[in-house]
Amino acid sequence: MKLTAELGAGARHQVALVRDARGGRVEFDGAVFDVVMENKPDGALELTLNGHTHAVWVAQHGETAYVHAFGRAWTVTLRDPVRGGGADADEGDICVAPMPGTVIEVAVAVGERVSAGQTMIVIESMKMQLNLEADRDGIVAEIPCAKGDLFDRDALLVRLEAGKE
Amino acid sequence: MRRIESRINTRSESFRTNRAHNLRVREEFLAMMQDVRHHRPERDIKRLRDQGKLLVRERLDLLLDPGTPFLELSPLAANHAKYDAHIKGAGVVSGIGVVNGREVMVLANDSTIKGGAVYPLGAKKSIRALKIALENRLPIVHLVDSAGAYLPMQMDIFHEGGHMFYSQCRLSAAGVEQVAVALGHCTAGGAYVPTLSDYSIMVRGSSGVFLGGPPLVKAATGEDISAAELGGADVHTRISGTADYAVDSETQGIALAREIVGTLRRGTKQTVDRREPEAPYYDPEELYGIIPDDIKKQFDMREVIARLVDGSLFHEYKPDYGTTLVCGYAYLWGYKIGILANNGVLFSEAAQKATSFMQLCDRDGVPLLFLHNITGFMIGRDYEHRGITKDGAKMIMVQSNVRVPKFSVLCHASFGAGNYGMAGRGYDPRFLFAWPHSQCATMGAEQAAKTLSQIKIAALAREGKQPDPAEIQTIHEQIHHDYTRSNSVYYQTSELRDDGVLDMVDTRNALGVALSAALNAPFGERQQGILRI
Repeated sequence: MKLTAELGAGARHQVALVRDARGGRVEFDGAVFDVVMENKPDGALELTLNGHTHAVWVAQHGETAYVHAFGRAWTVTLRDPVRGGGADADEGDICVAPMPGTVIEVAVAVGERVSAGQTMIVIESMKMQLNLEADRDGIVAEIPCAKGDLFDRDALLVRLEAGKE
Repeated sequence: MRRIESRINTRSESFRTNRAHNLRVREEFLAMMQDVRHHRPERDIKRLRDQGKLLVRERLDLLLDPGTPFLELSPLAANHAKYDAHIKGAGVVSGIGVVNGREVMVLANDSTIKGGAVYPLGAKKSIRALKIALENRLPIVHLVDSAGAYLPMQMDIFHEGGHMFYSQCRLSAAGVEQVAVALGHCTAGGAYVPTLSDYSIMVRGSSGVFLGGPPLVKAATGEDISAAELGGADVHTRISGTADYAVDSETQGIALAREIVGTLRRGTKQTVDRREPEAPYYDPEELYGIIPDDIKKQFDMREVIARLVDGSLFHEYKPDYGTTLVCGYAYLWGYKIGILANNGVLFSEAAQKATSFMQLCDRDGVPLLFLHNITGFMIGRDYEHRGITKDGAKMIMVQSNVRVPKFSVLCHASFGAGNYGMAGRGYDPRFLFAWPHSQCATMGAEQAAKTLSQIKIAALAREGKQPDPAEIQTIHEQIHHDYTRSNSVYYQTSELRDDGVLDMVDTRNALGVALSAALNAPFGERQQGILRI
């Protein structure tokens, strides 16, 4: 599989790697390079690329690598091909009951502006209190229940105005 | 695997209130641990010093490899027991540590407390340590210094004591090595501890091993004999052959025990999928702000997983199905594990998902970690008609019969049948730990108070009495108070219903030691029961 690597804040490149004992073969946006790689005692990585040898330093944090090479610093981020898909965009517009229960508190009012992660309604069910939070920034369009109301599973508890973004 | 994306806002008010609350709970917990481990009356310390003895923690320091982890088990045992004295840690220290490069179980009497006398919970704690050693094939180092059974409570100790020696025999049959250092008098049953071990060391002057001590011999036969002549180090290593090595000091004896442990076989570990360990991407300290200040409040268990596992990397299985239970794979200290974590009550779909997931882990030899925040299975007509009981039974069936080791952490609530489904104490997880604010019981204090006060009021009504609201309130409060006490983690751990209370941030390390220990025993063959489809 080819990976998508992002250099700094922008340019994306298709990268594929084949490893062997000495280094490997790198395919970079269609061009193929043979690379010889050696770890140096000082922590540097010695790369031989097209007959030229370069000293490179790499520090990794999560999916981001901070690289010092060719006389400057680079930030390389691997784009996760699995992330990003997800549910329909309008799923964040409605907040439904995950289980039957009682409304303990309604923390927002119709017309109020909410931000992602803000608690909109608190419910209690099966001895547990659950804060239902806004999935995205928006404006509250509808709250069909009041404090103390009982509801069934999958009942609509809060609806946000359709997103414009 | 992908990094979990935390949604926690560390600047939010709820984060700050939770953090303040949990840090307060942590302070209390750490103060209790400090007391139980280190505070002893001056005169008890002096008595030991006068006998030329070391304190149990000093003995452990000499025994264990410096700089290696020691996972102490149930340090707060007997802390809430209604004994005639505060028997700190039930008078015994047990734990998994590294001795001369070998993972071992250490079982040591604390002779600053009633001369190391065995109380009922002390016997229970020792039996639990021996069971852990058997299940995880951990060699044992016994540091014996006990006055024997605490006689006023002998009927609650007699059979448990016998079971301790029985366990030692079963361990021997299973090929688990035992090394004992006798650091005091081992009288009557206690004499069997060093004698049933593979290697036993005695200290000249202070140790004695005999079925009947000098006072009993005098009473029974009139013979006047000193402890050293009756069953001292030289008697047993030169004449009777009951013990193997005589040394001149405790320090020398413990050093010799280390040498012996170094000669034990190096077992092969069960192979599991491993990779280079990595710290979690998110700071585990943030757990204090994530775990709510009220047992009823919910939170996203993914936030906990993100602060427990390597690189906060997680592959979530069936993420859109049965969403009240989060299942998936991660690495912890480099070991691949399957995690089941509660995000609400268990519905049929969640129980089915758990069942499939555990079957996958069982087939592939992936140990299971259960993170509890469970108030139970969903109840009500609709759910019964859709087979919630049947689906819960499937979950329990597969969970009970998996060949892979199971580990449970009570992170918040753990009530009712939900605890069963999640490998609670009754389901023999290899290790079960609890967080300092957690609660565990058949039901929460609130529900118990409601249910039981209704029953009480009905009973009064049958006698023709009509309690007024104030009386009802009193009944309710009394039951609530009793349940809150008995559901509390400190009561549970006092009674040995878990393997210890953990500070949240220590959980990752404790699980690392537990996982490593568990791999000493082979997983065995897959063996499953019948599922009611």
